[in-house]
Amino acid sequence: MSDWRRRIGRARAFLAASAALAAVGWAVAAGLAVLELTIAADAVLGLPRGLRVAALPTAVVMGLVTLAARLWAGRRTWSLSAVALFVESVAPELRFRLVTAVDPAYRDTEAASRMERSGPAVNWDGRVRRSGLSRVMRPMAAAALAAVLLAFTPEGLTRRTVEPAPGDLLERRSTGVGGDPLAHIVVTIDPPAYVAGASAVLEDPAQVQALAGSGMTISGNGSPDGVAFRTEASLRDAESADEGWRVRTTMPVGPQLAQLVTSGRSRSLLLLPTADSVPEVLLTVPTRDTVLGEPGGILPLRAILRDDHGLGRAWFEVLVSTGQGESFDVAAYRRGAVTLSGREGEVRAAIDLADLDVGFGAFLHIRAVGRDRNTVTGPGIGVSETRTVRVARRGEYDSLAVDVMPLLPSDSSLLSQRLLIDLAEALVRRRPDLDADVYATEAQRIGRDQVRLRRRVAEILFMRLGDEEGGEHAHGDEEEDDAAPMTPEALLAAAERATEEGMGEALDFHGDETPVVAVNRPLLEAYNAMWDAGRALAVGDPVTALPYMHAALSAIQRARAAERIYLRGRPAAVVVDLPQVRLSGSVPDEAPAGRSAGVPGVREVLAARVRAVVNQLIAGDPEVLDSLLTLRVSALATAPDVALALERAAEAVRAGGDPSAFVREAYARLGGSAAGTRAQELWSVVP
Amino acid sequence: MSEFVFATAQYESGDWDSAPLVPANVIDAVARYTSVPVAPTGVIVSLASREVLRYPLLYLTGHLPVRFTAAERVTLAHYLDRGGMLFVDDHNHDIDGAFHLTATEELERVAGPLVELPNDHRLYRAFFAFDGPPTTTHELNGWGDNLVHRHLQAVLRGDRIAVLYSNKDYSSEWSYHPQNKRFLSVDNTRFAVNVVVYALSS
Repeated sequence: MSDWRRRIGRARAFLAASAALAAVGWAVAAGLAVLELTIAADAVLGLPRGLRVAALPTAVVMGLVTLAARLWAGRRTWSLSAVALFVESVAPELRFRLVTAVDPAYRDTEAASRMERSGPAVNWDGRVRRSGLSRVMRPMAAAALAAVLLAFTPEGLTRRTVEPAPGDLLERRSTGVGGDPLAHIVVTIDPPAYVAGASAVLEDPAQVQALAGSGMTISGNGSPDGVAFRTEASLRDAESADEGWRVRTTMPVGPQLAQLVTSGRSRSLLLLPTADSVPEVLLTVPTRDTVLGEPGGILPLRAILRDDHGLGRAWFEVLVSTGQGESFDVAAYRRGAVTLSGREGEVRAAIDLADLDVGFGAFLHIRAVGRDRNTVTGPGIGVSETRTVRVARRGEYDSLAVDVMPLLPSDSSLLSQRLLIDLAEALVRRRPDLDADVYATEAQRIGRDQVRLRRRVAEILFMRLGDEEGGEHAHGDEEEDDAAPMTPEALLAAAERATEEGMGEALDFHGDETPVVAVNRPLLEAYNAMWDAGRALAVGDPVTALPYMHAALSAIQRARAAERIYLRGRPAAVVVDLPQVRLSGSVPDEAPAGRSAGVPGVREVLAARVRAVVNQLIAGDPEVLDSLLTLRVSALATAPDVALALERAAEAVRAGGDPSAFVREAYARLGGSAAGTRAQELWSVVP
Repeated sequence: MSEFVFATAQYESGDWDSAPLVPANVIDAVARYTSVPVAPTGVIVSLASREVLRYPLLYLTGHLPVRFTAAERVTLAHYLDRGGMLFVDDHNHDIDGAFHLTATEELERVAGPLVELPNDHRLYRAFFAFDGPPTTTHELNGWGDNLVHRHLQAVLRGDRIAVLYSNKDYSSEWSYHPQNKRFLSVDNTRFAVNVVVYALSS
């Protein structure tokens, strides 16, 4: 390769490198400029953290864009023709020989030869180097200047922009200096050790929500003198820390309104603890209540547990109860205790019933218990559903153990009705052999038995309908007396009406009704059929009577087969004779206790309920509207002025407004003194 | 003003109706000593039914293990949240009895921790003045757990009693026909008046 070609190649490389270096310089300068502008703006205006977080990425992007733009602008340095032209510009004595020589169109012409001959005589290398360096100087100087400026910026300001972090609000020292130490506060929350969670930092919070028992450090700028942290139960002074003040406290178990106070002003801080939930425990084995035939064997147990912050221990509790009535022996056992870690776990055990001294007829109540690792407000203990495992009574399965109900009187009716049918059918069969008078007399004899049987059914029927036994007579029905005050049909209709109330809802009893009402309808049908059969038999016509007699038998069978419901039933209702006992009580002198005058008045009770509403408002209870409305209704009769104020408060809540003024008004009208009271403090922060 | 109706809670498990004469006796006592309008008979209301919300005071007792159904738990929690008061009495008068062990567990699960109620609580001054829960004969005859329970227990909502829990066995003490009060030198149902008046005024 000829000499001039090597030199033009070196020039191109040098110029390309200088162009790249200049681009880097400009890029660095641009990026640092963005950061410095952000820092300056933050120092003057106090930029929010969101803007500061964006500063560094913006600076990087700005630098990259600048770099790309400058590299694009310097792309000509890679062109040999462009470099030759540049060389011609710094070494005009070349008289365009170099440009012509590098031009591909003239590669094989005399131009290259001329360059070979005269090129070494022209020293352009030094001039190209100087020119290239001069192009690098400015961007490098700019980058250096930006770096120096950044280096001399106060560290706190730089960190707020380069590494913005929660809580760096206080690093702007201007806050609180010579001014309000409560202007800005930072609350650092350290969860309890058992949670092993990360700290959280809140800037200028109005409320702090954290796990009960969490450590809280409240910091601010300015002098600690006169700064104090006040809760309902305590008052503590701030201590000096990091050119500012600091108060350490603990998140209480219940919501509290705390206040930071100085001599000049106060600042409220609502402390809202979140509870550590108790473990959720699900007993998976046994899956359901069951009955064991024998008091022996192994009973497997399994439960799964889950907790929001971590499980500690788990075990099974077994309650073995034996006895009946008021005499019970109960023994409690703990089985399968294990230590758990993590948020989910499982516990298994197998209990040998022989070890628990379980006998026939015993009940086992089994549940799983889980305890979390809460060492601050706990431990939280969760329990599963209880499963009941019953051991059968001795001999329970050896025989059919049924509580026998006394035979219904209708059972004897059944036998008699069947007998009467047999008699009637026999009479009909014998009819060809009998005289008409004998036939009629026999039929009437069966008819009288039918009447007696009907009366017996009536006794059962009307007794169940709440009438006295023998109710058929009570309604004036004399034997064979068609002139009775009530006809059988009317009587039946009355009975039907009485019975309809229970039909179709046999398990839904009212008042003193009994379940047996449900079996009355077939008895009524039997009763009705017996009337018709009796009439036919009375006129000596057993053929006509037999279908009715069969109908009566069928109805009695249905009554007999009807569902019988055995309930514990209700105790007899005792009705207190209020007029007789009203204010008849007296307190003997020797009695240890006397009447108290401590019954609160209506307005006093209302005032207490208003205070409860205030607590609901503070706690953000979504049911406060319901409470206000309920309270308003309560106040309508006795304190309409209070009701009006409460109505306005409810409207304010509905509209998302501030009900404080109306609640205060209601309280004041009830005689409550809002000024200077705890209530006043609370109401002043009702959102 | 609507009249006070004494309501007995009926729950699925156990023997909720083990003290059938207590309601009449409490009603008699309320009428005997106060002018509170009161219904002459009590009502029985399912603990799983929203009907309970009609009554400011619910009475619950029994001997047997108590296990609320899911519906009973939900309704009871709602009832207590809405200002109702549940009066639970252990008919076993036994600190380790099946009712006590299971009922307290269920109550704490639904309503929160039971705490010892101070004997100077407003309940004991709500109408008659007592130095604490009145002693029952069962505590004195040694038939139960041989203990005189000095305090009642309660689940408190603020300063209000949401659940009043007794091991005293008032269910046995008060389960007699009110007409038989004439045989007593001191009416032992006066504390029931305090419970009712407190429930109505808290």
